[in-house]
Amino acid sequence: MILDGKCPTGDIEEAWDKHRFGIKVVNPSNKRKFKVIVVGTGLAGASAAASMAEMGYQVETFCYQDSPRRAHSIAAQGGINAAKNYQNDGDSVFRLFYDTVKGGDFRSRERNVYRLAQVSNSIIDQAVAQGVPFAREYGGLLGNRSFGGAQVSRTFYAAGQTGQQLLLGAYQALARQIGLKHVVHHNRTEMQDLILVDGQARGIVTRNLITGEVKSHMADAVVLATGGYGNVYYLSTNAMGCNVTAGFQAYKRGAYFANPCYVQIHPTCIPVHGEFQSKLTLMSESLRNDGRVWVPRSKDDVEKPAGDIAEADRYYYLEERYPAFGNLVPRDVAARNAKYVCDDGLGVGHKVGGERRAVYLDFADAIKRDGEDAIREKYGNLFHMYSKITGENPYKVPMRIYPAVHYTMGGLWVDYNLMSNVPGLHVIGEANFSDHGANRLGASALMQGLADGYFVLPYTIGNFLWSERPEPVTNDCAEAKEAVAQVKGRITTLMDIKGSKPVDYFHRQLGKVMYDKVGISRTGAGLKEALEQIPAIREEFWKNVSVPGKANSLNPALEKAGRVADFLEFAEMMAHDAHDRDESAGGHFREEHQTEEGEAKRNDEDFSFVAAWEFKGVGVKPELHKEPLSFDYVKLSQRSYK
Amino acid sequence: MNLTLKVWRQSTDSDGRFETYEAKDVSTDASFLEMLDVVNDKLEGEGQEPIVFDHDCREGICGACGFLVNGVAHGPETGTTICQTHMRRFSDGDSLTIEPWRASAFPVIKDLMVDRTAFDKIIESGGYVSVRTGAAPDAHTMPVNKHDADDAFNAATCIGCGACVAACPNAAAMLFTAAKVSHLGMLPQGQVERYERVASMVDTMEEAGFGACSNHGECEAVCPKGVSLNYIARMNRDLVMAKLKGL
Amino acid sequence: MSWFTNLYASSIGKKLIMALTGLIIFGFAVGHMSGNLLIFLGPDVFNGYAAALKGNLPLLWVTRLTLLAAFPLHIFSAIQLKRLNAAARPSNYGEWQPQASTRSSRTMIYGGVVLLFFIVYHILHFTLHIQQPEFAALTYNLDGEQVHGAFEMVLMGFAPTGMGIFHVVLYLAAMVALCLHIYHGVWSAMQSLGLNHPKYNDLRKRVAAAFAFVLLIGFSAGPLLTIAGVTKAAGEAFTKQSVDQVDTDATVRR
Repeated sequence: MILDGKCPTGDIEEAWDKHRFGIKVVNPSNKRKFKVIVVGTGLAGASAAASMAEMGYQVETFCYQDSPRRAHSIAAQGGINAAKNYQNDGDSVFRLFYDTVKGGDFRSRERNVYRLAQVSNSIIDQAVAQGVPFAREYGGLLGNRSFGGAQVSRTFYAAGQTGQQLLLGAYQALARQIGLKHVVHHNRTEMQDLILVDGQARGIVTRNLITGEVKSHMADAVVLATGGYGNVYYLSTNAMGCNVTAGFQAYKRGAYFANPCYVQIHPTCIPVHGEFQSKLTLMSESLRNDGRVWVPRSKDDVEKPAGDIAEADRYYYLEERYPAFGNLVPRDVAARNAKYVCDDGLGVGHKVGGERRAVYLDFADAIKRDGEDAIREKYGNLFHMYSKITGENPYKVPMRIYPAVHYTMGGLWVDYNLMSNVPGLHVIGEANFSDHGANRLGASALMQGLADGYFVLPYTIGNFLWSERPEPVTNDCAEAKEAVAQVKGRITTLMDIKGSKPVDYFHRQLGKVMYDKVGISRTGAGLKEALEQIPAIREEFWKNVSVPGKANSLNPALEKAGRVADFLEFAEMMAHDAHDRDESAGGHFREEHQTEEGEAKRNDEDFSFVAAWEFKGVGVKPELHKEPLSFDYVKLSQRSYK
Repeated sequence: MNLTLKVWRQSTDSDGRFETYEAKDVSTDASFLEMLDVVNDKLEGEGQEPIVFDHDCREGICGACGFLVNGVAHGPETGTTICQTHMRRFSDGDSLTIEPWRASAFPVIKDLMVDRTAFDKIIESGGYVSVRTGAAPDAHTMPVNKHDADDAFNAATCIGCGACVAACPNAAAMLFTAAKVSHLGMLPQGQVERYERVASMVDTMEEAGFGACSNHGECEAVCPKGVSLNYIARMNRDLVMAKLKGL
Repeated sequence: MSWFTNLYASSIGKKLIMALTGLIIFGFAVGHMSGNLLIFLGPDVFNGYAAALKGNLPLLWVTRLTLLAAFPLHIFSAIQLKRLNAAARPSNYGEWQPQASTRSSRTMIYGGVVLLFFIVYHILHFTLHIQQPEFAALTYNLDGEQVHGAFEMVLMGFAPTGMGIFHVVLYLAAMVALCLHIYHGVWSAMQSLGLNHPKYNDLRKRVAAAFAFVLLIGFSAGPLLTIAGVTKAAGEAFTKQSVDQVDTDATVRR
């Protein structure tokens, strides 16, 4: 089936304004008659819930954490882009749009991206008015920095805690609405299923993580703001609780899942140091401005202390392979090359699972050139964090880094109104697929989450509500009872397996397959192997997982088991998507498709589309629906970093 | 390294007690929570219920984790959360007492997990600027003195973990409340509601059952973000002004 | 006054009252200590000072009434805060390691109780003369005027007898308690009153420590030096000196 994103036509600069005028508006007295469920209260969810409540809708919010303030948006360090042109360096809405489409390697929707760039300025205004303490210059105006290789300084930031400050802004707006009783909020409550009534998304089934109570909540529309699926890799920079369950259950109820193979891998993370490792920590990639990346030339040297390896025996592979950009090649190129040298047995550091997966990031030359104080001035906090985690002094010995999964561009398919193919089901933030294409620019995640939540969804959801005017439904309807029973059944099944292996055992196994075969670099053959391995792990899981404790009380093992069960099915869809996308694009790199320079080589002829997958049964290949992409404003081009 | 853990175990319907566990062959590179993960894996393998604790981001910013290790909130490492404390900070053979935050406003849910919704209630009662989406003027219409902006930012770095309450002999939430009152009260955007905000947030804080400030300074000492005690003095001033205005 | 009851209803208001009344009492203590030190200038000066204080009825009663108001408020707020704090932390930790609080800050309530009992004893002792009724009858001829023999009373109160030794020990112990109470109290009062400024914040604790130390030394000097005989000797020396001075003046005039 050919999907239609229902984008407005005509001049792109006026498209959003015209569209907003064209869609249905709910008048103020009618808004209070509609109830909207928002699942997830990070940047996108909190901002959407607060904005809709301010407009007069009844809103009910859910999060698995003990407070909306803890959503993982809080961990974003770098900043948020906006086309303010405060630095007078020629930035504009069009330039931000242009950079984002190009950064997404021409796999995003032009009109969505243009809208994103348009509303970016309002986000900054809104955040400042909320009291978000962005960095300022001595004149009292906002400071900006250049980020992620952008040629203009358009990134607004609050030290290294921009995500935290923006989330607290949205959280405070949400808290105000909760205080005013316009929003009913549920902490420590996790969505387990989506309820469809007459084909429309009308409710969710949740499990109260404290009491274990499974129940349904009904509304006139459902908004998922449930984040990304990076934890399918077991180790990622995501928080421990991040999961795909909400989106995946919606997929199983008929929503299409788009572009799951687009995953962003961040090149500068602290490497794995043991089997017990639970998560990976990101360090700003600004480190590559002064650090030199290398590994020993010989396998015999990998165990030696870095200082004992002579200059001639060091392989500065980025500088040798990419003389023009050297250590500053883009994220995906840096990440891929780190994998290749480690695959060749040149990795350094701790041996975990029989292999060493780390490369050196060496500041010795920079310290010699600029002095230790200058380096401390620039990177002091990062060096401090590194030494705290690893126990090593990076001023004396080189850092060790390795890429880690960081952000997922794929997500539930949505149209221009951010509504999925299931009427009433809206998806915002990282949970949808819409704006980043095949790769995301630095400082664009915060922008997209808040754009969706503050300035897009609150308008577009009205179109659905007023054109459909859904009939009232209650928790007693057959569909709700069926969904509740299904969730309870799945919990009972999990509890009754009483196997011998903890949940994490399976999650680790899955993560390893995903990193090896569906990770930084992929091959058709490897993906075929993954498609055999993933179902095998899943089968073993359903036979042999051990979930102690009780179903009707606080049970972290049960929570994990449910999430991993979904990851085990989801991973297979990811592998299908990665396999069928027989081209390289952005974060999806197929070794068969690269330029002579080792760059991702797109196939615009055959793959200029969004791949939206429809569930056809567990273990059955999902059905592919294509949404064709056209580029009228940004000319298709191939990047080169040689 | 090998450790002896004395861990507080409590389910909602009991009074709780310390249980002793041996943690064997702990890697010095593991984080404190990873050490507990390993202990839990073993407990689960033996069919026992794992030790429950709150955690999420494990990089010291979400504020979910937190308990006392040997009588210190977030453990012996200053300026950080327990998730960012690594086992090399301890020695082989150490005995560690692990205990949840204790405050009547933070009832224990299970083991080391407590209910901190009282913090949310405080924010809900006024910890915001009342600006509806779309009502904001251009960000540059209101310049903010850099010193004030930086000071507001320092107050705003609070992660709401509750260590301040846990460490305070009075279980007071003054540092948490003062941080938000100061963050917004020092910015021009927060001036309009400055006094209503402090009056309402302090009222809610006290209704929630937190104690009074005795100026011990324990909160500041354990705060993973180093939020300063000076914000409490600032809040006191603002509250007196608010009361003089009859709020 | 509704704003005041409103403010007092919050713990911050109670702390404010603690701080204000504490500072009043502290101010009185500084004055009291300064007056005490006059004892080393001999009976003429000390008894004259004592007589002047008692003779200035407005000053005497304003001070007494202020203190009579400050003490109950201070104590009442303390009790209310203590109860509030105990309710906020109903069960204690199995293990708790202080990180920043001091012995001084953690013993405020106990020190306060000790000081309360001490002050009552002190008033019974030197103001109402209950323990040693002979104090009441002491008189002193100050330039022909009969005044109370306060100097002699102190000498007797801290005489090297059993009773005297007991008093010296009691007073010194109380002064240690006072010192601890003042150290945290003065700093804490500044914090409660919102007196902070980035420039002077470090100074606040040092000022509090200095005051606490000065009060400890100033108040302890009386009992300690008296029992050691220094007060008497100094008094005699001063008396002699002033007599000599008069003689010299007379000589010059002559």
